[in-house]
Amino acid sequence: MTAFFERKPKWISYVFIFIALILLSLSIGRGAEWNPAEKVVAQIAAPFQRFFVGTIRTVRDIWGKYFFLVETHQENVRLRRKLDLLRLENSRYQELLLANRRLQKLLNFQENTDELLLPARVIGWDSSGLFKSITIDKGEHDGVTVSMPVVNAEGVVGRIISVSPGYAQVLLVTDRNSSVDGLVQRSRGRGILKGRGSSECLFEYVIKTCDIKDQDTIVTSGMGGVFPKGLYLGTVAQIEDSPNKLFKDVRVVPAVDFSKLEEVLVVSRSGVVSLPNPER
Amino acid sequence: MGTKDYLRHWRENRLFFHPSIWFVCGLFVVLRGNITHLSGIEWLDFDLVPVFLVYLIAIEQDFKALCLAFFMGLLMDMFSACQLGLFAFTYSAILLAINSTRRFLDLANVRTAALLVALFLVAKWCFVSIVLRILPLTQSVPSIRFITVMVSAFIMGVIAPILFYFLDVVWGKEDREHA
Repeated sequence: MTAFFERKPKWISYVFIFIALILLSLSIGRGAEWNPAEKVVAQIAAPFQRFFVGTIRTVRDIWGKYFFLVETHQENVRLRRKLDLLRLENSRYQELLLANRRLQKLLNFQENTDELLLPARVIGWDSSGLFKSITIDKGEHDGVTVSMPVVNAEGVVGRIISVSPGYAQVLLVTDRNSSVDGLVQRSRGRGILKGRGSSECLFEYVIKTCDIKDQDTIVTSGMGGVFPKGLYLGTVAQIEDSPNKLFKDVRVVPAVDFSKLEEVLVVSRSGVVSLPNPER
Repeated sequence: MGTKDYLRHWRENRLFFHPSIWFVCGLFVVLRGNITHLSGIEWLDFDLVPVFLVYLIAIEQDFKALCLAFFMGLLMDMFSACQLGLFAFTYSAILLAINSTRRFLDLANVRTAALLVALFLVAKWCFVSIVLRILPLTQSVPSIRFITVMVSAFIMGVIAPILFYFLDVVWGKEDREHA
């Protein structure tokens, strides 16, 4: 059999192209979710990513902490963490304040408090260069499932699209296939935040009468059942209101700096996420 | 048989060559995102797989090149947010095209081979765009900038001869025309 293909290699091309087309056809409508075979490959290959990233980070840490400004670095890290926490807290308080002003006293905020946050480390970035995704070191064994939102202290990172026992793939909000229902925090105007495959996103379907200005904050609306309400999505960078268009063109700078993404939090609303394992 | 004899046997029969290529290619595909992200060159289509594929075609290892293309494409699909089969199809189809036109190409010439690597990258981007537009996939077509593709193709075309040289050393080939 192998000898036949070695003599007539074009045949193996046809076979492979046929198989690839079948795989593509089978995955229509399924998204990029990993099948059992892919999960096995991910389990085998992801430790290489973890090792590579770990080595780079260790080298960087050694350089940053021991050879270069030991105390300043530690102070900087501590202050950054504090700032991140305060930003998150501030975001929540603003949401609560606005909700109170609108006299929505009966709104059930329980959902904002029973979310479980599972810390995870970023161990890999998208291999193709065409799409925007990351691999994290938490998977099914940690209670992670497809469609769970992923955030960090700055705001929304993305959502889980594939899971293997120990790892998961996250589609970033900057990917062109990502859509998140959002609100203008100040005026409560609605829209959908779509990735552009670059460092900016588009806030689409914003009606002409919507009160939206530069530097307005966009937060998740809680619609769609994936992202909890009130998480930072980004800041309005540019608004174009063309008379020939039905909606306003709004460009948004994502809240998260994806170039410096190292740790993320997987959000579980159902409470199935297990507690972080300190040994990992 | 001593260790030296084993090493000589492996070298003479090139037993190291293909497993090494598979290992290096696989590792590269898995780590590619990390490498480009950590070095801040995410805009660049830094893809070494075409270099290995073109080299295998040049040394008339067509069957092995086709297998490598298909499985590295599959691996790339797994570690990317795209549908399974997209890159497997792309790599296989481009390699079929190269196979069909190889009689017109002097792949022993390193410049031709390097040019082919650059064209391979351009063809890859075109193929992915076309496949995502034609097939009723749920995914949007990524924004592809012409200038980025051209710069990537140029850089990979420049890097390719260096890799060819190392591959020649591993393969034990000395008659390549390094013009």
